[in-house]
Amino acid sequence: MTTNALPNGIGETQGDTLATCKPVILSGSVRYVHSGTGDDSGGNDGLDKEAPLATLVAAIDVAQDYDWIVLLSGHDETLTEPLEILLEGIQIIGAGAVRPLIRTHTPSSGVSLLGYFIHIRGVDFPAATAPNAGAKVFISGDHCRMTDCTLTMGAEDSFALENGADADGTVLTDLVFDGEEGALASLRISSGSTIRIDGLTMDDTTMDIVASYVFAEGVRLVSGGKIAADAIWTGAIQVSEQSADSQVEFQGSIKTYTSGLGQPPGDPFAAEGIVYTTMTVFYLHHTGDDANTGFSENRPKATLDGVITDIGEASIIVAMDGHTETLTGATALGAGYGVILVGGGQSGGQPSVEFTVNTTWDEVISLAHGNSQLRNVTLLNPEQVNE
Amino acid sequence: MMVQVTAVGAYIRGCRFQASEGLIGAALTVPETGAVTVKDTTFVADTVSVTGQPDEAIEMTTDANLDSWVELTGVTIDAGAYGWANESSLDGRFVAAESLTLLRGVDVYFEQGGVTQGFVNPQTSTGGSRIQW
Repeated sequence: MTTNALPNGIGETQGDTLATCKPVILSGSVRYVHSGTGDDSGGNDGLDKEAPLATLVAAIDVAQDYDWIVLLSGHDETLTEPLEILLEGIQIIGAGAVRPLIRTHTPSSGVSLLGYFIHIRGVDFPAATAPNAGAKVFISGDHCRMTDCTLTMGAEDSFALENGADADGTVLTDLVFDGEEGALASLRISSGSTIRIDGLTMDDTTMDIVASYVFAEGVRLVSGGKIAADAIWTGAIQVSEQSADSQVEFQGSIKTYTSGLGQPPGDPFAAEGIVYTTMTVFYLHHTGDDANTGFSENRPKATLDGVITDIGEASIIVAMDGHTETLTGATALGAGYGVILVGGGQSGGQPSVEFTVNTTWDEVISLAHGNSQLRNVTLLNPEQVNE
Repeated sequence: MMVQVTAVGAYIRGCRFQASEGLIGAALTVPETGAVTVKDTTFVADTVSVTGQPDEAIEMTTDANLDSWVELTGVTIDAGAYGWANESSLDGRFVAAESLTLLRGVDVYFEQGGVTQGFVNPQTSTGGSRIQW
């Protein structure tokens, strides 16, 4: 396979990390777009940074799977019809000092991510100035990502981002949903979808969760920001900041932990903020007893196996600060999706929770179910020669 | 092996894989049925002699028809004083690696006979670390 090696990356000094990092090797091509200096005519393929395309629409037309599409500084594009992206692995990258804008202000003129592993990074979506019945961004493909984007909701918008029912494994990182006066819910997580969120600001607007699996950390609810979830969603949401006028509305049974999961600094999910969860939380420390329920820090389980035998899917295992354990057999994290093993605390800049794994072939920690997580733990193997 | 991922959508964050003599197989193994995001995680070979080199840090095998990918962000692979016995091999359908740190001569191979697509940004490399794709 031919790859492109870019010793100086794509040569930008500001913008998304993929715009500024170097070196880069990629299997696709890099295509450039700028609404002011670009030209979509004459068979332009956008491969020359000095002769960019004018629109993202044209770039998607000529792009191949796994290409990078760089929206250059100050790019400002208004979509006049829906843009459906069916390609795989496309990276849409905002570059330069002036953040690129994608506007969607005619009926249902949003961007639909229908392919596999599409990633939009460092691009903003302003409020619509005419009625828009659809989402600014609709995600239906699996494992799509959005990073460092601001989606502004105006009175003419219906909603900003919908994670559709078919979307599996969506990841949102450092997104801002900014609601202007009269705005409706801006983030809709639809029934049956799964999503992981790391850094999200809901500013005077609402995240709606319907019958889906959601893991979110670093959520800020400011200026009336709101989370609303139905009775059958599953997951955990860690709110790191919550203004007095913000709201959380969970229709089903929810457990609330007010100091993270009660652990010292190490993993933010275990140590900080307010955690709202439908999941059962088990505590683990070698000074505990497997006869305990493990439901509280005062009565932890003693071994990981002791916890595993009690859990099914969608559970959280908190290995408490300083827990050490030697695993003597294969250990699958739970019997279903969404089991999280998180260690509490750090020592010398490293996770203080240690699992020693006997390294014959079958003796491992196995993440064998979807959306499993392993966080803030040290894994060691004993110095021995195996068969 | 220390950890094996056989499902889609696993997430490993803030962990340290400290491999010493006797590690057979990779510290993190992702067979063709697995897909994982690894963030802010370190893999280090921690041995006292060349003869005790652990096998390898990460091994991913592929089947292009399956939903097999790996995403590495802020991952460090460190050969330590005596190195890993083998290069890490990332051979999935899709690889996205950014802010990758390769220390003390670590080698990472992509697509050793598969159809791997994607990108890698080896932000920091020391000791003659190599990437082959």
